[in-house]
Amino acid sequence: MVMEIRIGRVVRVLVGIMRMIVVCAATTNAWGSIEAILDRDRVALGQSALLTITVSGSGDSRPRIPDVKNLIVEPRGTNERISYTNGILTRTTGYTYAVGSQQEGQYVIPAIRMTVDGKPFFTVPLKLTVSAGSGTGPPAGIQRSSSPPAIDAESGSGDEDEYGFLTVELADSERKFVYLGEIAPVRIQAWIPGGMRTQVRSGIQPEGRAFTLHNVSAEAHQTERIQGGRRFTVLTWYGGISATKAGRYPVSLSLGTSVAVPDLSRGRRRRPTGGPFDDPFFDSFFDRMNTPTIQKDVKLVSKDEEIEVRDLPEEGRPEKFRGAVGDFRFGGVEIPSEWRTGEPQTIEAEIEGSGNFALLEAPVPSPGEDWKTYQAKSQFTGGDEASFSGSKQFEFSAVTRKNGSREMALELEFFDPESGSYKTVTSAPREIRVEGNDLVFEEEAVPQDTAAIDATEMVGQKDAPERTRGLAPFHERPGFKGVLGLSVALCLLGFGMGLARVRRNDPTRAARVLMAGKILSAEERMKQARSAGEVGGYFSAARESLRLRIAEIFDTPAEGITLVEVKRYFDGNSETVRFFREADFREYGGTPAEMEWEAWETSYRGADEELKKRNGR
Amino acid sequence: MRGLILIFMMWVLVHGEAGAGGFTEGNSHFKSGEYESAVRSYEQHINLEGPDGFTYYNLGNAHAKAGDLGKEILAYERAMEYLPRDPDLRANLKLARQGIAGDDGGRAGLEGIVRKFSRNEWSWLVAGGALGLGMHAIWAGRYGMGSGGRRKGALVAGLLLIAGIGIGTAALVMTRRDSERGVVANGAAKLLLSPFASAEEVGALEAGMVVMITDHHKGFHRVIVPNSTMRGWVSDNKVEKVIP
Repeated sequence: MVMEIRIGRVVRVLVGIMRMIVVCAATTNAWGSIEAILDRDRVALGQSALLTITVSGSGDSRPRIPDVKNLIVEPRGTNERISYTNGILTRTTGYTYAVGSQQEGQYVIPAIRMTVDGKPFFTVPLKLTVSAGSGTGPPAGIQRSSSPPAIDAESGSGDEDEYGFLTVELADSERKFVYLGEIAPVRIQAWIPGGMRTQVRSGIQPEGRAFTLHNVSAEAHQTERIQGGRRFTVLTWYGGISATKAGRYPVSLSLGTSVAVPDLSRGRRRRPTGGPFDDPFFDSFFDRMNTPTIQKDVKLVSKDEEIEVRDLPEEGRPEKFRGAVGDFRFGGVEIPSEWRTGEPQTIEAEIEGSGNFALLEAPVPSPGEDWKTYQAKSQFTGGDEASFSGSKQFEFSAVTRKNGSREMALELEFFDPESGSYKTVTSAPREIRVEGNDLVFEEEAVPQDTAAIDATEMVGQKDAPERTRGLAPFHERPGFKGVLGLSVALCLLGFGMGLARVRRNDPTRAARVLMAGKILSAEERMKQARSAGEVGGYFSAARESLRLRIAEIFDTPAEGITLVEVKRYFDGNSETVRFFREADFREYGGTPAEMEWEAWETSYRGADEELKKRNGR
Repeated sequence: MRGLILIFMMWVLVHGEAGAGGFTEGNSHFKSGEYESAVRSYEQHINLEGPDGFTYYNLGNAHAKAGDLGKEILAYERAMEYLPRDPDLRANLKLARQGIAGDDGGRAGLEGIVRKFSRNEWSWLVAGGALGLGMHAIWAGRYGMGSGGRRKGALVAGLLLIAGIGIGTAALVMTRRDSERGVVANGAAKLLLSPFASAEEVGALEAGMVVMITDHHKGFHRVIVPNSTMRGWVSDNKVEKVIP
């Protein structure tokens, strides 16, 4: 038993390690890429095309789809696939979106940027034409109801309420109107008769053009209810509706379902009469049991309920109001503290709250007279299932034209539908310092007809040219190799000089050189004495030379070396001892005997060789 | 000797005035709104006097005013080879790149630091460091490293020189592919599957996009759009190398 538990643990650990390896490999071996495809390039008003973004590798987050005015982009789902091919693990994530609009026109979805495996990637811009006529196919991700299959007249196909119905109502029951641009929360319910086998086949779609449906929750809440004596299964979704013009309009939504209905077209099988089950009750029971079923596509449609759409009030509308409707506040602001006139820098802001985030544009600098801002990038993060609340991150470039230190903040103006009034929120002020000269932009200096070119915010001309030189960097020019060669030569030369200096300054070597000099000098004196026939001088110089060699070998002062010392270091019969003895005799004996120059010269050479051997040379 | 100096000074004066003439003329045209004439003057100045950062910068501005985005970005990219930290140039280039897909030139972290300096400056750091190291070796060889503070100073100087060479070399290695950079300078271009005019079109390149030119074949450049999966062949009269 204990052994089994241990084996189990080992297996679990191994599986864990394998998983880690697979995950690591999946994130490191894959080649990053990102691709965006629209399943069609033309759709009808109110219909949608399917945008699929395929990310190969590990993306840092969901793709950020840039805002395009009047283009509605709704997430439809995500799928992930990990494949192992030729030893390389690849992780591919697909993000699908329904893309459409309530206004005709040609839309361009700009390049979608995303960081994959730590590197930035982007897609090719895509074009989508929205026209009043029908598109080239059914709405993406939604199967239009096909014509119903052949159903027997008994199935009651003419009355679709038999299969259920749809209701839609404002979630805020106290208000019976919405403002233009407001996304009003709605509750959408599908009432399916109890016991009916129904499958939801497509998403909820608006039937008319007066309202746009937003952010319908992906999952429905299911409850059982009794109404009018009938039992229903009620599926509830939450979403939002917005209108594009003021007035009273019916809200009509539809939901595609598949219902299992008995197929009576094959004819009813006759049962033999008589027997224990020959009874009308059992007839009906067995009929239902034995009759085969087929799937029938049914569209549940809501009854048209009129909702009043009110225009935004003119009274109190702020100058900088740019259409935001909801209730918003600043979640965070990043403003650089150091600026330079004319040099764009990035400002980041996060707006939190609830409302129509699609109409929410980036906040503006306050005070704004000295600032120019550019198109902002934004990303919305839903705070609830239906994305009524959440936060939107903005990132935009701004240029200031006025020098000096001052306070700067961001300002956002919006219409609050709950209070029915316009509001302004301001971020916490930030102290900034701006360097450089105050700028007067080009449009103030150039003639009016040329100021229309879209480059009016650029910084102006330089007054004088620089020193000229080739475009190619120095390392791509031939001189670079010459400089490197010279550097290497200098390094080698320096190294050689260093070696020479070290050698020169070596005290042992210096002592040796000095000693060699002295020995040479002594030998020179020997030659001179021999030429002059001075026996005493000859032996004195020779003994000096041998002393110096002995001093070098035994590291002792040369002056203190006498015959006694020599006898201590060498054998009594050695040539060195013999020569020393003769030298003492000749120098101090004072007997000018006949001198055998050649013999003593040979003896000296013998002693010299003996000492050299002793010295290991 | 005096005569030689006089001749040299005269040459500098005449040459300098003539050199600035095209540039000044370009600025005059620019101020009076004659942007095509300004472009011609700046180009003439570059052809006659040789290129420099300020002339490319002014040329980019003139192209911007004339509405030629591709050539504007090409001129700014060339100016960046001389003036990588010039705030005016960086602002104008950033402005020009807005709305163009592709490499927006924004770099963060280490690469951002490396891009603060031109490749020419990194080259000079390597060359200067190498020459300095050679001189240092000569000095150390001749006089020795000494002891105490002098020895420490000599060691620190040597290490700094070696670090300079190492950092410069690393920066040049990081930016080694910059010599392949090109700009879609002459209007939008078709990206083709193969180097033939009748080849299948696999994408489109916007004017001003930065591409890497990896090959050339009979009038076509093989290009890769950085940080994307776009790659293919494009007519070589549409794309110009930043460093020709």
